[in-house]
Amino acid sequence: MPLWLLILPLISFLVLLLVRRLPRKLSAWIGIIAMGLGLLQALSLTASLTTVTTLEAHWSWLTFKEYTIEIGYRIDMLSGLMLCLVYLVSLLVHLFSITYMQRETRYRQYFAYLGLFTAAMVGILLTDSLLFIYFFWELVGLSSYLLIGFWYEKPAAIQASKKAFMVNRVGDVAFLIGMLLYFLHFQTFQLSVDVPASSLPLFTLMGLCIFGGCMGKSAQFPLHLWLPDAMEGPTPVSAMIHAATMVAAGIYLLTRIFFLLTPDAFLFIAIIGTITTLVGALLAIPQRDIKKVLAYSTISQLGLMVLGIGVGAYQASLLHLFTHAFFKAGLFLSVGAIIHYLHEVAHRTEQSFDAQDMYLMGGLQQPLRFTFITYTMCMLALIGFPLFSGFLSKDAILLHSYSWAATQASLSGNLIYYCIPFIGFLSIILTAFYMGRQWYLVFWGQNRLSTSHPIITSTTLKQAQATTWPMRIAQGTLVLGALWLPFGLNPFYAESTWFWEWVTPAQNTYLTTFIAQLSLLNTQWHTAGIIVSMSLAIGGLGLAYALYGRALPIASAHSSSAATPTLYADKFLTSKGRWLSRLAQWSFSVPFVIKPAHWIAKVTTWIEQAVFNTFFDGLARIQVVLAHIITWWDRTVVDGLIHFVTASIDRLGRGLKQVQRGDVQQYLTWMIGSLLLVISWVLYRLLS
Amino acid sequence: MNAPWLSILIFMPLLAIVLLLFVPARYKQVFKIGTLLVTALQLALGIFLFTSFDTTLGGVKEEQTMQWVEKLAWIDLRLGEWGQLSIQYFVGADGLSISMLLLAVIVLFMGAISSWQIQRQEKGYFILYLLLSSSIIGCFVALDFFLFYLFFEFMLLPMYFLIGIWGGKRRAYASIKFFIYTLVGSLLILIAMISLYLSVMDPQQTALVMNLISSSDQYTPAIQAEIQALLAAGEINPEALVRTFDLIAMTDAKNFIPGSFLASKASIMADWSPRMLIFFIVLVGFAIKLPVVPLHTWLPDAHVEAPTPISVVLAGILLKIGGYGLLRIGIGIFPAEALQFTWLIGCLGVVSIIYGAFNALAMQDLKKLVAYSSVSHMGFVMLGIASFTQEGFNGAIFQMFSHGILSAMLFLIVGVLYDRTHDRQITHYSGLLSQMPLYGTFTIIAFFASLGLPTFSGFIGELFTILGGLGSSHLPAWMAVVATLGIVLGAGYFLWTLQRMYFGKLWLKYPQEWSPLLKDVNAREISMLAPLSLIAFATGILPHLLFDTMTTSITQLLQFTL
Repeated sequence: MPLWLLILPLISFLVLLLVRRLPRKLSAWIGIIAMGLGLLQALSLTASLTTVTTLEAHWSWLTFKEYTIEIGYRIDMLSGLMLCLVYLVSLLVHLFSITYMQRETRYRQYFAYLGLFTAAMVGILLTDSLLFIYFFWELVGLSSYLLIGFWYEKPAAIQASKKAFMVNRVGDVAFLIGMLLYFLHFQTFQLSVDVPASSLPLFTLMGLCIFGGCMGKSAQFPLHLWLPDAMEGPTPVSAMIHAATMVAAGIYLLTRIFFLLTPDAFLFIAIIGTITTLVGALLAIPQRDIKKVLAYSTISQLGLMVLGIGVGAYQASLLHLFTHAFFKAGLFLSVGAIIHYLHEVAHRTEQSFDAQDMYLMGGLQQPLRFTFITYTMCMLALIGFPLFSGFLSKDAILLHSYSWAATQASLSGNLIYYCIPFIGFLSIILTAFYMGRQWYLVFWGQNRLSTSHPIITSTTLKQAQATTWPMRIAQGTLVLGALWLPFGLNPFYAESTWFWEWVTPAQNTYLTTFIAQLSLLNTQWHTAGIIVSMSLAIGGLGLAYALYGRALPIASAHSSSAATPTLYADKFLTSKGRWLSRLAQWSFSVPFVIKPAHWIAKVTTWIEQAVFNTFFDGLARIQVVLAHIITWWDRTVVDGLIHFVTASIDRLGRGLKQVQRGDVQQYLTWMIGSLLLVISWVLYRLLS
Repeated sequence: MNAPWLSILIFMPLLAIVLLLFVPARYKQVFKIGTLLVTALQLALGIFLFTSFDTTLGGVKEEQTMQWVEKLAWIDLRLGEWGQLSIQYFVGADGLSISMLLLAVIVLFMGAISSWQIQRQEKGYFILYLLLSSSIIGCFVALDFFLFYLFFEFMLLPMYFLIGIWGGKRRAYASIKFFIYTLVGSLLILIAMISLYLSVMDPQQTALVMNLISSSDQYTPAIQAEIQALLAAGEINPEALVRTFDLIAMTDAKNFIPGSFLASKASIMADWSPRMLIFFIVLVGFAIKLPVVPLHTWLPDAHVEAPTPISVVLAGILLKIGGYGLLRIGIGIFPAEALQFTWLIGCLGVVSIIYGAFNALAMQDLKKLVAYSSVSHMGFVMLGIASFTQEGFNGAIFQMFSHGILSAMLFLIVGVLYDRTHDRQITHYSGLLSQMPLYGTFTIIAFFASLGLPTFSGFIGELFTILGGLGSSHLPAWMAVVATLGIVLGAGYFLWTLQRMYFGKLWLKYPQEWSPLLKDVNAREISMLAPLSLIAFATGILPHLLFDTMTTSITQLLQFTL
């Protein structure tokens, strides 16, 4: 049952997370066995598929009056192959991690998180509902957060993990909106609907919103910022999540919504991809951290894939996704082997230095012979040398983009479309240059570590543990994927690969006529394309050799800190390049997003205190003042009136009391007085 | 099984109070165990009711499809020319209330466990707590406005004392502020209640008085229609007219007495009809409770000063009465008027979401942060209600349930820290995860669940309220889009807090004093945090557990003629 694919890594996750007293060795092997079984299952499943058959099942998840939201899986050739890839990389990374994480105290949790990641990634591939893709999409984000921040005592790691999650959140919110728009229009989240022949502006909006999610996960400009920082995580994690699988999820999603994309959306995607390719390649050049070079290179390659989708090169982009997964994971694991080795050196000599600083490397091909070979092979694949897999896919994308530009230009008469293939070809030379630079810095020349740390001699360098067999298996297997042969017999022609045969492009109503014109052009330019891209690659490597290939003098003989020597050859790069990368980092995050957010937060708190609280407290105060006024009124006026009345009555009473206090003379006076009054009144009446 | 379940649920704590009053104050354990026992029984009963709830019955506007109805005459007054006054003991549950009922018993039980650490005047505390629990349950099941109002008001009293006596440093200020705010809300509800009472007839009792039927068993829809026709024609003798507080009778426009205050169409303020005015009053009254910006400032103060279990109950259930009341009384009785205010309701919701989130971002006190996150999350409820769609209403109730569970969890997490060090400043801690791994893990779960990670309930609530908002024909699309900013900000303040307090190297403001105190969560705390995380998880992946109970009722609620 295909659901085992999801359950197996989940079992690994839950067992490793919940069972507290697990022997260290066992915890790694639980993960490895789960991944191994998963890989077998994925392979047998994919073998049973043909290009047209699918495996699917759906159940209802939520029932409302008018519709049902379904949960289920649908596996076609593409998702089957992706499942194999994810399981294979996951298995190899598990193996590699046995050695790499051997000194780690939270060994068990590490493998648990790897299991969670694999489950989430498999979930994305299994489901055919946008809602559940989003579901697992976020879970992938969570496991990435946990793994980047795995060394949570390191502030930089935590900062990086938060940044990764936040930047992805921004993309995901766009994805969420796009997904809801899709649902409101089609009344379903399933990715199998008929689109009308004429494109709607709504579809452009939908497609671009969902593409927002891809931009986050696949680190597209300007949401690429998180990926270089994500290198704070353990290197095997970088290999799996931040090079081979998770970042490719964005490309995968793009192929899933391929049918929905309108010409405008395609153009936008192509432009974003092109910018990303260029920015990534440029920023990879000045790095001195060995992993950051690869991170920026990943951004650049992902940009190339997005560019490919944007110009409609469906199969070429996916092929590049696969080949890139192999050789980039291979590169990362080779780098992991280097870092591991340097950690061992540091451990043995009880020295502390930055094991990722390329300026402290050099001459490592002697102690790390195996890694040197795997690194070189994967590097050649990345640069796009013939006979390597990268050549097949990269060349296919670039050729396609060139034909696309030619077609667009001939249709519109506007030559600006040529910018896209031009930048694509430019990125080849940049890629060759920064990879060549890294290659020379790391493996050739003298070891520069002994200059800054004299205690480390060439003998200590030889004694440290290099690679172990699980590492070698992992690196070796990935190297196979860097060669052309696993993909097809013809090393020059992507369209003859097996992959091309198996994965048929998704239909897009808006592209059908356009694609027919393209494939014609493709064949025409093919030989020329090979020559151009090869000479560009060799040119880039030659430039790298010219600058770094000879003995590398260290410029910092009189520098203030001997621990961080600067390379003479890099002087220009480090001054201009750092500035460039810092600018790229800052311009998008700190001054424009984070600072304003905190600023607004301060304003709202101020409003809260100064306006609402003061206002309502003021109301209360006014009430109290009013109460005092009323009390005063009550005491003086109301009570005064009452007092006046009572006092007057009292006075009156007192006055009247005088009349009858038993004074006989007074009684007599009153009597005579009143008698006189009566007599005078009677007399008066009588007389008148 | 037929028993007056709802009454048992309401009166069990009151009975316990009577018994506990005779127990001398020095037997502290008796009060704790007694309260725990009563809330445990309530929980068991609540779960039983929830599982036996018939999801095909709508309720809302029909008494026949209400479940576990109990209706007893309570106060009947013959007022001669003024007709007759009828107040009933009328309780029942439907899809609007059953999930809230479940939430209430869960949170009250957790609150009772959390109350274990109350150190002084236990007798008074637990008696007030039981009184609170009784009135909260009563509020959710009362179907007579007078009864509802009684319970509504009765919540204030124990709450005032629970904050004012067992609270923190500024408890006097906080409790009086809470009291004044909610009292104003209550007064507005009172105005609405009186004007509704003056305008609504109870057809069944009127039929009895007019001798159309001799007992309530004979009452049929035909008789109801006959009475309503007589009412419309003005042929009912004023002395025979029975005015009522019956919330179900109020939902039927035909029960409004011609010529009464709410039946008139005249404009009284600008171009507002009396019905619009009263709806607005109801809206403001419940918005204070919910709370909605700018009527929310009682909440952070009350939360910060209240003891942990009271914060849990306050955020977990009390706020939901605002949303529930708005749905049952506001929308149920005044649907057409509510439609004219959707823009305002939606806007208030979105402002709450954003404003609350920004404030949470700036907070230095962990409990205040959680309090403002409540404001933000309850904003989604308003957005869902404003959408006037099936998805929006479903989402609003779901979000209330989800927020009830998650905010309870968040306040418990704050409580764990506060119990140990009596300090909640975010900047006074760092690296708590390495000192208290299990506590840190629960915090991570609660934070991620609250920031809307799929597989937890928070995501479903936000998803459906936003879906409702986006698909609503009564709201502009930008409202839902702006609301999604709240999701980003939510991730921001929660992750930033994780970064500052839980990750990194262990660092404490007062390391000598605090580090022996900061032990990992104990069994009692796990017994609260673990079930709550499980509930949030279960409802997050199986939302139909809740949605199915409310869908029929909400469909009914949305069926009204303009």
